[in-house]
Amino acid sequence: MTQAGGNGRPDPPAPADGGAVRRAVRITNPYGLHHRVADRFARTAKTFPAVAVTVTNGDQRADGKSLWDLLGLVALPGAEVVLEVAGPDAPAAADALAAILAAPGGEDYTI
Amino acid sequence: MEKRRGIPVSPGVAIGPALVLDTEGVVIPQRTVPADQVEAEVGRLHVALEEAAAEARAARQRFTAQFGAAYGNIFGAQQSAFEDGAFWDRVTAAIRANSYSAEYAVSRGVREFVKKLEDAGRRLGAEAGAEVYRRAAELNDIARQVLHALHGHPAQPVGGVAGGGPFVVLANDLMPSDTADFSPRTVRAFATESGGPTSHTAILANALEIPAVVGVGRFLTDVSGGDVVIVDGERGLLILDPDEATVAEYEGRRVALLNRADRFHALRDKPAVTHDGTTVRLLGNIELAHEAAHCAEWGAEGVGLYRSEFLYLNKAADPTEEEHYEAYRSVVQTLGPDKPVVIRTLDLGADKVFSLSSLLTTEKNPFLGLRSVRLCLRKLDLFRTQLRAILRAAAHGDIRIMFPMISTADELRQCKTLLNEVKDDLDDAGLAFKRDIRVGTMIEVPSAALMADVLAREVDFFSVGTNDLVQYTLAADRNNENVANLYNPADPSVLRLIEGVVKAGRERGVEVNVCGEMSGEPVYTALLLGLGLRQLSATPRKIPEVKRVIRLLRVDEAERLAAQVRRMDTASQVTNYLRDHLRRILPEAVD
Repeated sequence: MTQAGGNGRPDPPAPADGGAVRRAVRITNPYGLHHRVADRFARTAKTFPAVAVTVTNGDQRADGKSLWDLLGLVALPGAEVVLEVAGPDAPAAADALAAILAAPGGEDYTI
Repeated sequence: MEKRRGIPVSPGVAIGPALVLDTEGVVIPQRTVPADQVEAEVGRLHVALEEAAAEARAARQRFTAQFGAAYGNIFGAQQSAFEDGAFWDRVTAAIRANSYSAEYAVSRGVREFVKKLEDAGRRLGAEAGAEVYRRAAELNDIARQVLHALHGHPAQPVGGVAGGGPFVVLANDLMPSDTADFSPRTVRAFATESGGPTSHTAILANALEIPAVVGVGRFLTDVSGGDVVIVDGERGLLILDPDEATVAEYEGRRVALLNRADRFHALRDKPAVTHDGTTVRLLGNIELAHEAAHCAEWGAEGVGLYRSEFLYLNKAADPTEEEHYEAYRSVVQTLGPDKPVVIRTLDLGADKVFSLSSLLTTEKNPFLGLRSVRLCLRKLDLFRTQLRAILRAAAHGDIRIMFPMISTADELRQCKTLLNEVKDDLDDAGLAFKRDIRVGTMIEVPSAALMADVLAREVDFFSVGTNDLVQYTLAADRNNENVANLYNPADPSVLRLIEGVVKAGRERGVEVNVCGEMSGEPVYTALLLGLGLRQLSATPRKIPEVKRVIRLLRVDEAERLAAQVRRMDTASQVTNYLRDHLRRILPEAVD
């Protein structure tokens, strides 16, 4: 598992057969990880069927493909959550998912 | 009939059927079922979830088509909530383990989840609690819709009544992107339980000319979709279940206000000239490109402040140069090439800009932090994109550029240097642009007001942003109820600063404009004229009333009034004096 602190800093490349990526991301959306952002995240996570996605906020842990789980994190503006992605497309999935968490907006998704 | 008081944020009154964006309770018939019915309950739950998801999916499509994806996705998130296997598997397991009825299992499952959220919110403090409360309301709404589906009559999602609009929209709170998609044709008015007077939602309601009241407190439990309600955006009232006499009274007031609006429209083509023949230029403040039409409608001679921030808000990516360019160009196309359009460059904190969210540090005091032009000067690529677009759009009309939150001459010089570099780039690229674009600066930081004579050497025009100037001069946030009493544009300290800016501008031949809320309030019109201002920029619909006051005034009268005010010690003395004066010349403007 690779580690990267900070927000949006690139990870070292994962092994070609996938692997696991771990990133800390700060929530900047003024409403936190709210329904639509969580929905966008879960919908995007599901586009990587072979990848396992978890998000943790403090001692709360969520399946990144479950909207309810993500809401259960109570990730409010300024919270630093940890994104963990494992599987064949892990680096691509991590990039896409971290961007959603870090974005201040993005409620106009079409996925 | 019940009258609830809130904060009026956008004037006008409206009567109409309510469109409720929230929750209502549903009775649970029984807690448990006989053991042999358990699988039937599981089956009922899954059918209900599929129905609810299908409704939400349809609402998402409808709202996306009508208002845009950001609005439709409210229902997209609901759809996902109904389709979320991880959560509903736990509810199903509870049915099997305890022989719960489907209704009870849903209600209990969601209630426990919400309780967990609320507990977590409480641990995180009051602000977090409010956000969590908003989310809990939405989750209760999910449960409500499933319960309705279980009862065989699917809950009517918000879109379900959309055929009978326009509506009075009632909600706990509305986000700016939601309101931005409202139009007077689809939404007569809105009222929200939470929200404050200076939220973007409030600003947008005003711009869109939709009456609105916010901060009413909890009322959604007392109203259902389709009920007739009244929103009084003049007095800050929400009236539930109005009796016939009240409906008739408000119908009369609505027509009277429309007539007043019509009278103001009649002023549109008359010049803003004082009784003794001095011309004042009245310009409009806008947030969105299409509001340029409001400027024309209300008789503004151009755009005195185009707040470009809305190009950045709620976006999944930074706006491209082309997006900026198209927005600016469309304003020029609406108003015509000879009307001035002052574009203020990005005036936000990093938290609101997509590509800068990674910069976010927790600033203890963001209004004294890295924001606005300070941020742009640190993120030159972002700044260049906007400057390029403004310069290019200016080839099509009288576009001017204005830098916000300038506090030193150095900052202003840096902005101008960058602007010149961008001009060179455009030359190299062979693109059409306006080389001699007029450049101005906002005067909204006391340091800039005090140094106006120096800044005047650098620019073609000043625009006094009174909202921030008042906040920074008196060190008081008007949204903080504990100190809001200190925030007053009529404070003698603020008036001295404005007067200094006017004097510096006059000596250097630099035009001075006032573009804060102060310029749209008729009570200040005579004073601003008396202080020497000849240009004001305000929300377009405020312009007729200001124009009316101008047409009643004489300049020598305004100057005498300013001389009186100069001798006063306190904001309340000034305000009382100004109100008395306005009452004498235009009694109906003061109530």
